[in-house]
Amino acid sequence: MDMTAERTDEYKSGSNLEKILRAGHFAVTGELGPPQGADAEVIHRKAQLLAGVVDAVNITDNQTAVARMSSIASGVLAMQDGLEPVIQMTCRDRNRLAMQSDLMGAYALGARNVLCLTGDHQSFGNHPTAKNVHDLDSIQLIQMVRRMRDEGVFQNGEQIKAGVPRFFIGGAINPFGDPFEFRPYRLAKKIAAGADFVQTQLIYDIPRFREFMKRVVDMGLHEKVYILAGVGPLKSSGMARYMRDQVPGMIVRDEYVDRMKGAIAGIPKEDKKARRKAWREMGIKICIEQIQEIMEIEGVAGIHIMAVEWEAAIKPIVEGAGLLPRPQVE
Amino acid sequence: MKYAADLLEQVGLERERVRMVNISSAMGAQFAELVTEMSEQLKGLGPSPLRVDD
Amino acid sequence: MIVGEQKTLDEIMGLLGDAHKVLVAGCGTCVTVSFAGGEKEVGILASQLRMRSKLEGHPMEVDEVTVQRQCEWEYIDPLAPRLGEYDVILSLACGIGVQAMNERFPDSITLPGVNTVFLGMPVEQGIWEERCQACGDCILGLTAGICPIARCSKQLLNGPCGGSQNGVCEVNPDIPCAWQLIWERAVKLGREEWLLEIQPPKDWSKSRDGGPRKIVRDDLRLADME
Repeated sequence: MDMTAERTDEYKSGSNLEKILRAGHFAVTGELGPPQGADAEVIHRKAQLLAGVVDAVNITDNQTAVARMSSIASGVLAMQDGLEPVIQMTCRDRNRLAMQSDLMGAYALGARNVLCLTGDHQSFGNHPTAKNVHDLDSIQLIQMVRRMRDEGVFQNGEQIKAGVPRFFIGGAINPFGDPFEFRPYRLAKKIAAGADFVQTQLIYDIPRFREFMKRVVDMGLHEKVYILAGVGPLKSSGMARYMRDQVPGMIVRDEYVDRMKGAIAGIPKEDKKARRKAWREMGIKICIEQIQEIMEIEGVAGIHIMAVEWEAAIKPIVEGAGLLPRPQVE
Repeated sequence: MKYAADLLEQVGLERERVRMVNISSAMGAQFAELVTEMSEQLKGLGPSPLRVDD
Repeated sequence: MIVGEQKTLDEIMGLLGDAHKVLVAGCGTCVTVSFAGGEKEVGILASQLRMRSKLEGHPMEVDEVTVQRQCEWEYIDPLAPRLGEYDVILSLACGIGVQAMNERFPDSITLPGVNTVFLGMPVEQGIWEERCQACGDCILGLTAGICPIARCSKQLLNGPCGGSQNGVCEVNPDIPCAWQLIWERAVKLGREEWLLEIQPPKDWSKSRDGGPRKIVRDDLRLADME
């Protein structure tokens, strides 16, 4: 028997991310936001900043409900630069027909990871008068993708006729959302539905994340799913404050806001360039420290770095955290 | 009261044309003062455009 | 009940256009209770229309009528003889009443003066909240008596999204998170297990997605069914 084939069959999808996690490596994923336009060069430019730095990269799906280049198309473009995409798919914009159609198309084009999301409400984006879909919720989407892969059936139970899409299935979890007591159970539901890995909301409150992980570990959930902790570099004290005070579902501890504020102490307000540099250095520094702290928490299988419109920050962060070079798994 | 003033404004009339005060029957002087004040205000606004046309 | 909200006077004036003779027709049921289209609102709106049209230099003749229910033939049929006099009927009923009028009186034009907003209830004097989406497949028995279809901004069936914080929805701090309410009630009742099972995708064909719906009760019909 061909050993390679046998080995591949063991994997659910055979994606690099799956192999890295299965081999027990601490995984690193990044995020790439498609442009509000049709320029493929934007994707290539961002992808080149991430190639070789992360094991896979999330391609956001009309993030914050702003119309952007499709996550699947962007993911295929990023593959040309040697990146493995995690295709994000929200329940906001598609019904079950469109989702299955896009999943089959994405698989045919080479995508192997999918992240199933509810999606930010359209009122946050640039088309607040749009009709949302939510035909399925994120847990039902996970279940549908899992049944397509493991049972070879569509959501309606009919057999898939020509080629089963075999994805490594991801979900999102928010340890900072309420009701806090329900959050570990919601993770358990995602696992039962078929999630292979989950990525968390941005963490700026490590004690609360630690408390969440303790509950997760007590329930034994970390043995059933790979948990990637979400982090991201702050860009300025204003951004830190905004995320603390304005973004629903986020908790930012004051220490981060204060440290970002402290970063520009002594720099005159007029010297915008120096302030920006000081802020960005501090943002990266804090992020590296956070990763090192999070790596010590039981049950964490990897890190997911979200640097919104700042993809260049990812390499220094991964490097600073001692996570380069990325392991090669065959 | 705000509701009534809003209704007038939607129609295209000045909201100052309507006013409500709470006053006891024992406060004759204040009542007279308020009525004078209101009628001065209405004189200032001029006759209702709805009435002029009649 | 059906909760409505009167359109602005500007929009109503625009709808009426150059009509000279208008009948403002209220409804004595749901929109009366939600203070949008009952006898009182008909009277106020009719006065406003008379004043405004006069100020704008093309006075309208505006009559008023309020029937007990605009959504039943027997209550609107008595209006038939007088409708011919009017250029336009402005209905302050919900969308059902407006359509009933148009359907029953095809030679008259009935326009809507009210936006039909939702199925809900007054939670206190002056405040109404949505409670039901008429999805055709009630799941309140699984959700601690609180409907996520009507009250969750994303109609989620398996728990709160990541945007729920401090009990409120990410869309607006004035919206209580339905799943927070559901969770709290389930805990209070000791029925957390209700929320731990995966709820399968909803059958939306029973909702509006299956096309306009219809209920036929042969036991109640008067036609010869035997």
